[in-house]
Amino acid sequence: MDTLLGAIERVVGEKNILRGEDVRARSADWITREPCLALALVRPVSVGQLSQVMALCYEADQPVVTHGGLTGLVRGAVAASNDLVISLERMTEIESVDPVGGTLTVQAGAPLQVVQEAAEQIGMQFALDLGARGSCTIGGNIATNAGGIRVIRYGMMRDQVLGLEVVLADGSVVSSMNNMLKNNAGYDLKHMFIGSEGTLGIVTRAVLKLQPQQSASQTALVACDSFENLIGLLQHMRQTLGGELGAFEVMWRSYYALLTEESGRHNPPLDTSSPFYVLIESLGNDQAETAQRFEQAITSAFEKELLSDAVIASSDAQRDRLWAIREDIEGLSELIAPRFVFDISLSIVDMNTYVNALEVSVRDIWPDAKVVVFGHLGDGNLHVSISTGEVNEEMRIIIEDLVYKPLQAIGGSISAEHGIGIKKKNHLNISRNPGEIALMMKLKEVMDPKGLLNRGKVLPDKTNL
Amino acid sequence: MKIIVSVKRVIDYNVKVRVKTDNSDVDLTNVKMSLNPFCEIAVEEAIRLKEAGVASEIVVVSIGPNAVQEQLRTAMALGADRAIHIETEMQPEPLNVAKLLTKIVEAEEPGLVILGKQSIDSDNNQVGQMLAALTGWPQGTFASEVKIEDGKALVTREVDGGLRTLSLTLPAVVTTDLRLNEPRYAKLPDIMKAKRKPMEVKTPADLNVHLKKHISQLKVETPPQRQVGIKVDSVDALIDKLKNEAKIILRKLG
Ligand SMILES: Cc1cc2nc3c(=O)[nH]c(=O)nc-3n(C[C@H](O)[C@H](O)[C@H](O)COP(=O)(O)OP(=O)(O)OC[C@H]3O[C@@H](n4cnc5c(N)ncnc54)[C@H](O)[C@@H]3O)c2cc1C
Repeated sequence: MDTLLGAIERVVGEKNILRGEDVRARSADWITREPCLALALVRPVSVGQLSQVMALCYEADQPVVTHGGLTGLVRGAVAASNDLVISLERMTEIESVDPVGGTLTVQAGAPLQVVQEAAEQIGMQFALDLGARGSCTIGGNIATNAGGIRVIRYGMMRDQVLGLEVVLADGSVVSSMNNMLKNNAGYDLKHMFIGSEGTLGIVTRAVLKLQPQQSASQTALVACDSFENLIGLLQHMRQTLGGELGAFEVMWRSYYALLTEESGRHNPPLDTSSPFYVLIESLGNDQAETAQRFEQAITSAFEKELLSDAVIASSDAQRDRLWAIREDIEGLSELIAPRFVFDISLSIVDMNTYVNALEVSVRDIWPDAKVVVFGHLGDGNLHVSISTGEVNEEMRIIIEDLVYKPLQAIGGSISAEHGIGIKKKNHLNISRNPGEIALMMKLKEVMDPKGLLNRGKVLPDKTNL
Repeated sequence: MKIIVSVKRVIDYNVKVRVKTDNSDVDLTNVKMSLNPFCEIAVEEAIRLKEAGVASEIVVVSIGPNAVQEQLRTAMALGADRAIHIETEMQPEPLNVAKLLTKIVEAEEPGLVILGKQSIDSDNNQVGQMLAALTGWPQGTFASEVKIEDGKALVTREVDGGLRTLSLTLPAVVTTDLRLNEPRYAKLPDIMKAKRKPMEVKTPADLNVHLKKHISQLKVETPPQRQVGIKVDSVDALIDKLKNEAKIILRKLG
């Protein structure tokens, strides 16, 4: 072991291999905040160094776990005491920006927000956006195929990536830094790595697609009286705003009331008596036109009684305050800790029945349990938190059953956007059929025959097949 | 009691300001414009006084091109009763603004005028004080609390290192500081109703005020770019850099 770490130290330098307390001080689980147990943490500065480190690990059969911004929610970056962590925190360079082609080339450790700002500098935008923007990295976004609040308009991370560079399990580098919008020359290998959660290779660089900036934004928080109206509102907004609909984020009353009135964390812009609240945003080019179209769309929805009340942000400061309610996941974590967290996909029309039934089945067992729901409704994605006051294994099994069984029946997914990690690997069969899982395993076998990359993640344990 | 609130349309606080290539001014093409934050607080305070039964009517006034009617509508959606738009394509200086407002005050005879302490675009912090001088009314600037009692306005002001409370005989002029209140959002039904609230349009000529230009803006520049930081290897290297590059004089402690 010491010879391996010594050899790695010679590659990255003494300061860039951390041990003991320096490793424990980090946490790879954003929810539990438990310390990282890995035997050491290595911080390469270039793909060259990373490739050498990985080659040494391959030779020594040393398993590794990749760390990006550590905001993942499925324990994908959690390491055991005999794992070595490879952190991309020093690989953060924005290498080039091409305003004509609309591309940006970046090292995988760069935080999402830094990339967004670099795009803004040249009058473009990078269209992926999510609450963890300040900490999460491009590599992590690629590894988890992150979604977020702009999917309804621009799609997921997969849609923003043109090319990639990866280091494979044996240390070899595969560069597929395509910067063309269209390139059908053979298999498009990047897609194999996007969403593979670090189990097939370590992403080191990427070519990202930029979009024209939409500098005119309009934001409203609206209240809805019923789920039927909520669906009607989504359709209405899609039709009246057309391509300008940039976000349609729904908060069930359980979430909205908790984060405002009940906890006092935010002043409620609308009273808390409605079952549903929606943060609606339009993104356009022309300030006056976008504002007018937006107001008209909201007003006509009100006249059709699809919404019962609404506030429209009259400044960006007010806009930020509305979003702060929706994005206060930190507040949610504090208020109902400990909790079980789920990230599910299902058809929009099934959502209300599903959530109501879930509440009933949870409260049947724990009458005081909290079931808190919000999500990217336009994408068919809900985030469900369940808190019974404590968390233990037995309870986990029961609650996972309550959440996943009915989901299986209606053909939903156990992971809309957060990935599988360790948390959901033994439920993979709910959302993937045996043929799919078998092919995934074959792929893993070929790409990582020694099982060194993020071992024990994504794919189900053999005993659970 | 009637309250007059003056409001200004300014570049949104969150917008990253761009300077025109000839450095003549800030580029406002297709930029988000909003109510000046201090004016928004002034509107909110007036509404709270009305809700408390202290005020009976709120009149909002804005000076500028047609587009300022958007901010007047916002103020009416928040709760103002009617609006006066003084139309001009000029960007009037504080003294001109104060003169125009004086005319409105003479005609409307309010018990209280509430203004933002300054606008975030020109940062003058002059209009409230000038208006008080021109009307001869007492002034309470930088208010962080306003109470109306027995024909007096009790105004708490934030001053360096503490608070100072004044008693002003009404009618009076009050300018708002950031901590006075948190402005509400405009609700949709009120936004719709505000479209039908009265908006009177006047020109400076109607008010017998000639807008004079005393100041000309020479140039506008962006702040110098902050240089990227560097990492030093040791405390000695840091002290060396501080002494020789940053030119900071270091003294021994104790
Ligand atoms: C407040 C908050 C809000 C969030 N909102 C959303 C949301 O709206 N939508 C959404 O999809 N997610 C959301 N997330 C989850 C999370 O932010 C994303 O999954 C993010 O993409 C993870 O990036 P990261 O850099 O933090 O990755 P990490 O947490 O460091 O890692 C995540 C996984 O990717 C692997 N990995 C990291 N970097 C690489 C690399 N370079 N190469 C290969 N594998 C790598 C890790 O090993 C791990 O398995 C949210 C999280 C928080 C805390």
